[in-house]
Amino acid sequence: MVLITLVSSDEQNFPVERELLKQSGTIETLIVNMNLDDEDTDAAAMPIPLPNVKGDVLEKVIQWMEHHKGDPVKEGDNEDNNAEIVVPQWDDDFFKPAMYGSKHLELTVAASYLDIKNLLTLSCKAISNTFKGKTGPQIREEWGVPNEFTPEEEEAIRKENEWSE
Amino acid sequence: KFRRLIMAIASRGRNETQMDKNQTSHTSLPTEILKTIIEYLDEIDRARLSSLNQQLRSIEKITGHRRFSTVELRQSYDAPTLEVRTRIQTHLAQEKSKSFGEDDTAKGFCEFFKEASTDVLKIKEFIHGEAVPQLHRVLSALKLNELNYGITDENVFKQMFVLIKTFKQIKSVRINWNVAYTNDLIAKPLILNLPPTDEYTFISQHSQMFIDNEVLMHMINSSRTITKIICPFIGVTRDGLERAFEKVYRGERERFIEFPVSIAEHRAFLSRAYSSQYFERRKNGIKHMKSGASLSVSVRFNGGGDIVTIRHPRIV
Repeated sequence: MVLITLVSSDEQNFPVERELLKQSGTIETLIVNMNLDDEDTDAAAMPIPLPNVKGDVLEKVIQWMEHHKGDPVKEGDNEDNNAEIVVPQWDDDFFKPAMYGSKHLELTVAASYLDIKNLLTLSCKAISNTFKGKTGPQIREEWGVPNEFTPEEEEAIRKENEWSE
Repeated sequence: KFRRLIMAIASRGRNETQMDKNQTSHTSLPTEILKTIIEYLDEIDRARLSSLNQQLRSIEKITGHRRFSTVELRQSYDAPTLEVRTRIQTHLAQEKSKSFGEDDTAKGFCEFFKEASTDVLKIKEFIHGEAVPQLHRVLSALKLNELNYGITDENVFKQMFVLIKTFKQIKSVRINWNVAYTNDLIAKPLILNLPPTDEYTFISQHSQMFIDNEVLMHMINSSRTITKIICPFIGVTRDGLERAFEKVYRGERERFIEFPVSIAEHRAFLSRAYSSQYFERRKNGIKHMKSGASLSVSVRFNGGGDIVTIRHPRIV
């Protein structure tokens, strides 16, 4: 089994099975372009630094990839028509503990940076699910959105969106 | 040196993909991720979200991917404004109206409907003006199941024809024939050119005698499963009834066909069918014994011809 070492922004090393890394477009491109999986060269022993991902987040990403090992990897842009995407129970349980904190957001950003399309899709869908049916003030609180509108602007927007009340 | 090279490649896109380190709120997420999250929300949640602050408002506006149950377009002859009524089916149907004015008809409309999907697209009035090609480009990119088109004249029919040909996933077409005085010589060739789709429904408040046996058979051949003609009378005769029924009982495909017919014509058809060894007599019609296909006639008491219903046994 070929192992490739990923190094997080806080210098933690994570030896990861080569096969798992095929889920990440960013790492896969790097491995292929730099011949990092050619065991006959020195490059094979070279760790891959991921300066945008912290150790605890990278650990979660690897955990997610291990569970989804062998899943078909999405190619190109997401053309699914979003309404039909369902977050499987395992993923829902995986995201839940961190859902209302910054950890889940960091995991989502890491999925985007590492170009792990399935993780990004499910993670974004899980975030959007937490807002369904909530009122403006509830969303404002959960998203930590400051109110920048003047009372007049607020009234105009309220009128425009009256149908959604 | 090699490590520095890997580091440089791995750091690519750092600015676009990193959250603001001082913030942990959802609004500090990169715009592309916020757009993806917004795509998964329905119109009601999107409206609530966009009312929270200017950043979310602008991102929501450019996100596209809106999902509706019905989109209805109206435009009158004397006003360039395009009125759009959208409906979202939740536990209650919720409607939203939006007008695209003279200056921003095409631009505003294109932005609003970018990558949108809807179950039904209703076009109530003639769409005219310089923006038509652009509007059609946007409409033809819509993902939809049913096109519901109000036909007022030949030009509108041609617009509908172009749209049906362009839509790839369209399943059902409802033609609301609102032509004040139908010129049969113009109308018949138009209908005879209808392209194939799963379902065709033709609706008119007036009798349309140009729908004769030939037109009926074309509509049946153009629709893969359902053909419905809803109007007082059409010009179909006993011969048309025979051909329509034969199409169903000889075919393998699940089909449902419904249209009005005069008492004289369906009686002439039934009296001949009753004497045939291939059909079984039923209370209100007949059944083809080998295939199980049935034809039944129901009396319409409030005027107009009686309704003939032909169904393949496998149709749900």
